[in-house]
Amino acid sequence: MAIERRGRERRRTLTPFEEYEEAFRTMWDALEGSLEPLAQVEEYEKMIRVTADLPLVHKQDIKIKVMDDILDIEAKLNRCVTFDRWGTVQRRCEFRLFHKNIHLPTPVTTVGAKATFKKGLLVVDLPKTVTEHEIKVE
Amino acid sequence: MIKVKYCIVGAPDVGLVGAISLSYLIQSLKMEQMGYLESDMFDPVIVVHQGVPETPFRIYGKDDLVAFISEIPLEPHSLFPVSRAIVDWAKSKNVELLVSISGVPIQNRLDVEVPQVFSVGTSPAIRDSLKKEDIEPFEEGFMAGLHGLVVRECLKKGVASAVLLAQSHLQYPDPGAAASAINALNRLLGLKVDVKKLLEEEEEIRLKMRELMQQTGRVMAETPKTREQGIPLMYA
Repeated sequence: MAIERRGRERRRTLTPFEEYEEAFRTMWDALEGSLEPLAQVEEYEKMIRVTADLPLVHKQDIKIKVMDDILDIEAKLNRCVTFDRWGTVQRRCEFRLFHKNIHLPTPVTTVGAKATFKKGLLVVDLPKTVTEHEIKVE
Repeated sequence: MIKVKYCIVGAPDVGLVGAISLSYLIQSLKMEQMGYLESDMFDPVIVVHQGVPETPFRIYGKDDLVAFISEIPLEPHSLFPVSRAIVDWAKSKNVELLVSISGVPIQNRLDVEVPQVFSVGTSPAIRDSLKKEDIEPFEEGFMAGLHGLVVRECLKKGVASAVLLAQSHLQYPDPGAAASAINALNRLLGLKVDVKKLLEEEEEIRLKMRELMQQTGRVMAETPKTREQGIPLMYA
């Protein structure tokens, strides 16, 4: 239920506080053992294209979920990645997966959606949910 | 006083091509740090490598080759003093050629097996040598960023300069593009840097450079990078 509600949130401009938070956001989560992949969202007339860079990942280990206007990408790394002697909090960190929740600019449907994975780059094409209604000029 | 023949410059920008190329060159050629560049316009950071604090913009040298590399993305306003400092130094050393390495984003990067390298030379002689090495000229367009400003300073101060632009991803680290750029540099300067290891470690590099790419993307958004896709005025 909670996920669904979040999924209906509309994308808006970030408040200064959120911008500040964004600037300090790390691209890893030591507790979950996950790394955030680089990702881009492109909006076209009828679809949204999401790309994500997923190096060290096998195609069969990628899970993609769509909830209205949220795309969730999870991909197991083909080997654990450790960062030794790094930072002050975590002396040694082990990461085993990529995980990212991407807010899309509009709601999308999985009907007709397509995903490809080539050279470690994931490309997901998602048709927009059609909410267009024509208004007749009298 | 050391004799410097060639200077190479690279900083994080498009696909991190310049940064990846320079860092790989420095490692492969076992170049040694000989100095650094400092400016009040840089971000207030210092890097720590294996317990040793280092400035993020460093200068390396070996024999008659000198490399300038930035480990942090450079804010647009800091590019002016940086390019001036590099070119002034190169001029004072009577450098034969100053080469900047960067990337040029292409949309169908996934379909390109070996990225092509385009070049810009500041004099007919350099353009000739680039042509002789089969490095295609970048015929028409804009160059925004450190390499663009370095060329501008070189033209102003009469320093011979070339830019190597490898086709690359815009916002994903692109070691494959860096390998192409290094191969072109090998031919141009007569170096023998083997890119095998770079290509073998490609995926690992992509994973480890995510954060730098993310920060670089934020800085690039403030540079007139979009102008690079435009067509310049024809009869000015």
